[in-house]
Amino acid sequence: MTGTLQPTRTRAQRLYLYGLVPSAARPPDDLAGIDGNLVRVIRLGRVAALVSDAPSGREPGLPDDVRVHAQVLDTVARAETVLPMRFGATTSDESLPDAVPVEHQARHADALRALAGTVQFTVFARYREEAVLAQLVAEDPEIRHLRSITRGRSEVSTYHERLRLGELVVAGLERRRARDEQLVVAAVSAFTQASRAHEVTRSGDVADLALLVRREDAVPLEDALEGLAAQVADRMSVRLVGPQAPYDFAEEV
Amino acid sequence: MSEVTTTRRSSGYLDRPSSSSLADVVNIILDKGLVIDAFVRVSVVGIELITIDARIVIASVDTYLRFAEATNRLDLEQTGGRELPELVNDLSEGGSRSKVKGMVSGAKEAMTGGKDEDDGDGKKAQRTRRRASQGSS
Repeated sequence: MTGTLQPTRTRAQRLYLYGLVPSAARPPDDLAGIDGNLVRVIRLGRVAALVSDAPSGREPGLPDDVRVHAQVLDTVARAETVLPMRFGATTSDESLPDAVPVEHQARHADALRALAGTVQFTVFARYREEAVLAQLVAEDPEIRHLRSITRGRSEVSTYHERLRLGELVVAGLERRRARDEQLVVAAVSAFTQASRAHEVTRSGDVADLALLVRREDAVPLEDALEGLAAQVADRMSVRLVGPQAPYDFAEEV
Repeated sequence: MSEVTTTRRSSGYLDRPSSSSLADVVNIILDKGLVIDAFVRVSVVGIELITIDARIVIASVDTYLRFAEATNRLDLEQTGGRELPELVNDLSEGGSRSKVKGMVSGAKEAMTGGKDEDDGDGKKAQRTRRRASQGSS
């Protein structure tokens, strides 16, 4: 399906907008979007809209819609530059040009040019709990002591010692995390154009990094992370998601 | 433009999911990407719950107790067979878990109680406002 405006229909067609692409972009053939509706491109001027028909008879927003939204954008991002919408939106074909006004299109076109040739990858690293806890017990005499006096005894009689033990373990994890996050950053930096470190919120998480990567660097990046994952396998698991649309690098408009 | 190539390793240390879970998707696209003011953003059913689940920092006490328990369960000596203290530990853990649960639901009740009090305060505030408006009229 090529990216041309559909013939005007008698009734305004509801559209689901996935994101913006360069005006010359072509979507992959037969790419199914929300409710299986075919994804197409509508040219707006300096940019084009990546759309499909909206679901009929219901508002989009179910968990499956979110999955499809991301899948469509990630599929398109494998070959084309795309500015992804956060969660997407519905509009009508008549009001689509109003939604992406001409005066904003120059900015979108600049953003697309800046992102040209790149995709996003996301790296998660997490501690293997048993291994890291064992290291903390081995290294910290107070943890070792508290463990020995609470182990095998009821929680009620050792409540305060357990709290202190848990507090020390969480603090120990946090100390190590700063070091190990840098290890991940260092492993990928040669293959990334930009990166965003997200705050990790669960104890035991090491890193959550969004990386902007040139398409030709995708394989070297994977190789580098495979090397890191092997090196730290005794204490950390490393997970790589992508290629994805550049969610973290699409400017707010 | 050439399509990005990636390798799909079947073995190896790097976890390389071929499709990301909903939790991943939400985590990745939450608060990011393009937002165009002219659009009414799609509200996503179920997102809030998932977000809370993924982002919540569990109350410290609960986290500490969990890590204390995990640390106690480690078998550092690798003696092979289970020692008596461990069995005892397992049994007491069963007990302690229900105690923790009891504490959590207790806290929940306390919070709900607090909410009821808030409602009471709200009514009081309304009454106060009503009185105030009556006074002013």
